[in-house]
Amino acid sequence: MLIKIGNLYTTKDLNTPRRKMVSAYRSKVNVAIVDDEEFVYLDELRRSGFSLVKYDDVPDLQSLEAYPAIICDIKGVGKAFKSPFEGAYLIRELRKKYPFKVLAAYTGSTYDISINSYLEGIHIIKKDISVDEWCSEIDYLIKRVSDPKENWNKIRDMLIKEDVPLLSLAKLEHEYVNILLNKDGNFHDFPSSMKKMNLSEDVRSVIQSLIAGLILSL
Amino acid sequence: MILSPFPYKIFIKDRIKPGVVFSTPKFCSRNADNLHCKNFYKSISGKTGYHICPYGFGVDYVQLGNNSVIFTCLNIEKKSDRKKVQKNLGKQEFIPRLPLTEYERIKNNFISHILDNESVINIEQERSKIEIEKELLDNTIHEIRKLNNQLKGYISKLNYHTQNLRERTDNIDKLNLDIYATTNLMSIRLNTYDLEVNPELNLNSSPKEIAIYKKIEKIYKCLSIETGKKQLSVRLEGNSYNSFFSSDVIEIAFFIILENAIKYSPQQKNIDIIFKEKNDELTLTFKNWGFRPRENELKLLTNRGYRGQIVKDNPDLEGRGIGLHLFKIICDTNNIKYNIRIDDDNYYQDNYRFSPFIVELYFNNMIIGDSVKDNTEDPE
Repeated sequence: MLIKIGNLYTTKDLNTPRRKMVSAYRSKVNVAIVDDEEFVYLDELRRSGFSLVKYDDVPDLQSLEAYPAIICDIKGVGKAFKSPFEGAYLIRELRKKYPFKVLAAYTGSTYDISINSYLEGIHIIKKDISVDEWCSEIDYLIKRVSDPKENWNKIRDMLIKEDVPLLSLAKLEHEYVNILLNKDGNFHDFPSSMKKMNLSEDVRSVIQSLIAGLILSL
Repeated sequence: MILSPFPYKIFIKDRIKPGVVFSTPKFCSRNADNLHCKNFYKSISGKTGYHICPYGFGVDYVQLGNNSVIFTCLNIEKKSDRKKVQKNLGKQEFIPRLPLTEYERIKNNFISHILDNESVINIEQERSKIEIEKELLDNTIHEIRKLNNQLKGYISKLNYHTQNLRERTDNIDKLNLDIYATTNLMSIRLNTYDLEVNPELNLNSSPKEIAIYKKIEKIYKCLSIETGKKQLSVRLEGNSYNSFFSSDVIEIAFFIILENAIKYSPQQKNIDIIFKEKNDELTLTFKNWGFRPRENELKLLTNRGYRGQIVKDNPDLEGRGIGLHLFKIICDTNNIKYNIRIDDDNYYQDNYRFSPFIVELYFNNMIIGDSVKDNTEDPE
């Protein structure tokens, strides 16, 4: 068991060999693919262990609420939103509504500069990659979904925006890392000191939903 | 831009451009590719004067000497269908309905300004032509990628089935590999085009852990048909087990170097790709025989559009001098140091002097070990 006396854990303490062994598993993270055309590798990728659900299009953002990772085509989808930017617009709206989801644009149009601002910071998957490359792309998304450091960084950024005091933030980070290192990733009571920290209802619910996703995928 | 007060088109096939006073209604932007809309514009081609589009908006086709301007998305008394316009604009948008005299006054002011500055509309006409051609090219490239994707899907299925064939021959395997190599080559060429046209998006795509050795193997296989044509032997020496945190475009940098090596190498020579990995550092060296550039040219090779004099003088060697420039940009944005040099060895063939052309790439802070873990198995 790892203990730290007089110090608080930080996410740097997650760089231990044991942590590296814990990684996500393909079947545990549901991935949605939104593409109006046939997705040629669907069967092969499912055979490779991925849990994939294919949509031709979605009528609203809520349809994708259940998926921690979403891969979205640019052309021919997001028609319900009536934007000329189609899938790029859908991705931007998903990012606004679900900032903790891992999103990827699946496109053959990265020459099109008009979509740049919509896809800033979004992972891009080229349309004509091979099945091997698809495996590594989806593995990468799954890894990001379940990466404790990345998830902490998202929580931290949100708490900073909510003006949570830095000391409270450090304590929360300590508790988060401690659960991962010493309590088998059981986030049931996390964050235990929430009431003392005066977090808003919105912030609490987002933390809890993110943590729920973590438990699922670890 | 011709600073038209109203939304306008220069050509029938043009996209509607917003006016400086009246912008394009969202309804019209959304329906620009609609068949009714397209057919309507086709039907008024060359017909000057007022028209009403199928959605009720007024359209005014104006001839200005040799040029024409089509003012569109208009909401004008007597020239637009008020009810249809209102319905299509919905509650969210508002375009004031202009009296015809007021519209004519604004239009005539604009036209007299344009007639005084005819070159402006000529430039706008050229710009519109380029835009139309660019759109056609974009659609074609998108289609090629889609077809290439389908082709890869079929190859993957074909591969799956041929593996179970009893009378599977080396020839079938080779053909399968060649088709696969060609589709990958198409992908890389399309990726290079995307990078050149839109570097902002393509260079800044999120970085991830990339196994360098695997990427080189892929590129080498993609170009295997080309190496075969010149009877070149590509030798991979050493190994790399770690990965490098980088954007996917790194693949294009490797492609450029290896493709250049093939292009400039004399027939039946070797191309060596050497991996030297120690701790978290990897040195990757590409070495091939190539035309010997002048000493002062070496540093210029990564400049956009620069080509060595010997290469320029050789009509068989086409090129635009873009490859090494893209290579430099990719390396710079991904923190890869590089060195391009020539060795002292040389020999002459067909009156050309050849020397070993060497490109070294230095990858620091490689991610060591099992971080790209195979996560197919669930241990529970």
